Amino acid sequence: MADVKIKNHMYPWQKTYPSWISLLSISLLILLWQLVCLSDVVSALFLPSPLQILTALWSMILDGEIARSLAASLYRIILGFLLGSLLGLVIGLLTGTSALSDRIGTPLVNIFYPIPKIALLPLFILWLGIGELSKVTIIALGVFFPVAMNTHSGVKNVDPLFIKVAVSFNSDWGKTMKSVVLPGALPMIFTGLRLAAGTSLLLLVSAEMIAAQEGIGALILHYGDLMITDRLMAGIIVLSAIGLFFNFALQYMERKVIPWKNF
Amino acid sequence: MELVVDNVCKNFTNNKGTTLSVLENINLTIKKEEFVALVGPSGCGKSTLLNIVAGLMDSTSGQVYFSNVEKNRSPTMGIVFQDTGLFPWRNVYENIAFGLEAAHVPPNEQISIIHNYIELVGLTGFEKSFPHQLSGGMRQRVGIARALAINPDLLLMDEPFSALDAQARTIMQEELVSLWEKTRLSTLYVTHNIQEAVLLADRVVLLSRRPGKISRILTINLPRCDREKPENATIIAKFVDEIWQHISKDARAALLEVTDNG
Ligand SMILES: Nc1ncnc2c1ncn2[C@@H]1O[C@H](COP(=O)(O)OP(=O)(O)OP(=O)(O)O)[C@@H](O)[C@H]1O
Ligand SMILES: [Mg+2]
Repeated sequence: MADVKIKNHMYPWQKTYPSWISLLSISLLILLWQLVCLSDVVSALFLPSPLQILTALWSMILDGEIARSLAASLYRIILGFLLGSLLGLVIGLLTGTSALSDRIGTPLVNIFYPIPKIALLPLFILWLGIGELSKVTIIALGVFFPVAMNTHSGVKNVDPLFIKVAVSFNSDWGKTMKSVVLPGALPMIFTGLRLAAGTSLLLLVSAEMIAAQEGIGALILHYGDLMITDRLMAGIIVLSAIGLFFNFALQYMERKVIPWKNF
Repeated sequence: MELVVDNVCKNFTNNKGTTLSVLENINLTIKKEEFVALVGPSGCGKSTLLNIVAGLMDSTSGQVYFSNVEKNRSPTMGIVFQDTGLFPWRNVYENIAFGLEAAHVPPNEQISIIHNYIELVGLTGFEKSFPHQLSGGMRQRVGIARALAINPDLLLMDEPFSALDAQARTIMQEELVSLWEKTRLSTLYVTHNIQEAVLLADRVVLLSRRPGKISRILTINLPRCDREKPENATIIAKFVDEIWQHISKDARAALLEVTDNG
């Protein structure tokens, strides 16, 4: 007779690793990159080394080029994001709660949603001029759709029982919206906002490459034309930083606004 | 003030166009300070009737109204839902506050009312807890406190304890008795638990199987606080037995129907 020990078969699924591993793997990747560049297998024109890129970035920060471009880009993306998400929120709440606005609004949303927004830029430039307005509008439009659609389905997915509870207490429309529908839809709304953040960055860069003197997109295109690859890559790093910052800000907000989500 | 259910009928029409008669000619009056229990087999239309009374569903014909209402008063109802319906984004205090907020009670007046009811249902110290941090029984008590806090003219409860285990249920029944004696609100209480109905109610209304009709009304003329006493056990048992005799055939048929369909 022998003992048969019971093993935890869930172990491979339940294993966890410390977070410094992520940092280590990124560092290793960058180190590998640096080594490849040092070994002269690829020309620095096609793939500058991380060190070169950082140096370029540093000098661009020092001479104020980054600050100027970043200011122009942030202005457009933040304004566009705010306008688009605000409008999307309102329209999503309306089509989600009122059957009439659902009938009117949803087909319109469905018609305009599949159009790649950047295709509308020439039209907007024609209507609104080549200035900031056309770029902000295109970003707002790109942000509007994911936010409106996610808000809509967030509202639709609020448990009808909660609405019943509100109605049974004679809660008026405004109170029901503010205290029941909106909090119930918040998780979905944030999903929409995160999707929209990606879209807004995409549209920002596209619009700036097509029609802008200033901004990170214009900067990248400019150095691409001049084949100054390290400065081009420095611009891409700034883009990545903007994206990371966006994501971080949204995550922070989500944790602040949805404290009950940790079921 | 009384609540009158006057000849209410309810049909459901499904998408194939066939109609299902769920309630037929329901006539019922809930008097002031009366506790009425509604008992019947599964699917007989108890929840449907409660929803119609609560104003959450249209009746096909007939009407529900409060009679003898004083001038300039609009009667209010407090509803305790089977699945509590507590808002996950509000803590215990804020959940109880909802009805008061909706009724535009000034915030400084809300505080003492809410604390009073939190104490009444024995949840002192849990004001800041969110629903997912509470046990099933505690959640149900928050639901009851929320309904009571607006001091309603009529209290409606749809199987509030059916999600609880047997022990918690017994405790909650006892707590409800003492709570009710303190507030004496006119109450319509839906349950399929006969024992529970006999222990809590002044009158037990029996609904027959579909189409739901009132088949019998029993008056339990025993003081509520004496019903748990051993010397009354036989009387209670007799009531329970009588109701069971009346609805067991229906209940069996309902159960068979359910298994047939499944
Ligand atoms: N929205 C609806 N559409 C169609 N039929 C419905 C609808 N709601 C309820 N019914 C039917 O009405 C009947 C009564 O339902 P109800 O929920 O009132 O029963 P109940 O007495 O509360 O049962 P239980 O004790 O199981 O909760 C059931 O046969 C059900 O199929
Ligand atoms: Mg029911």
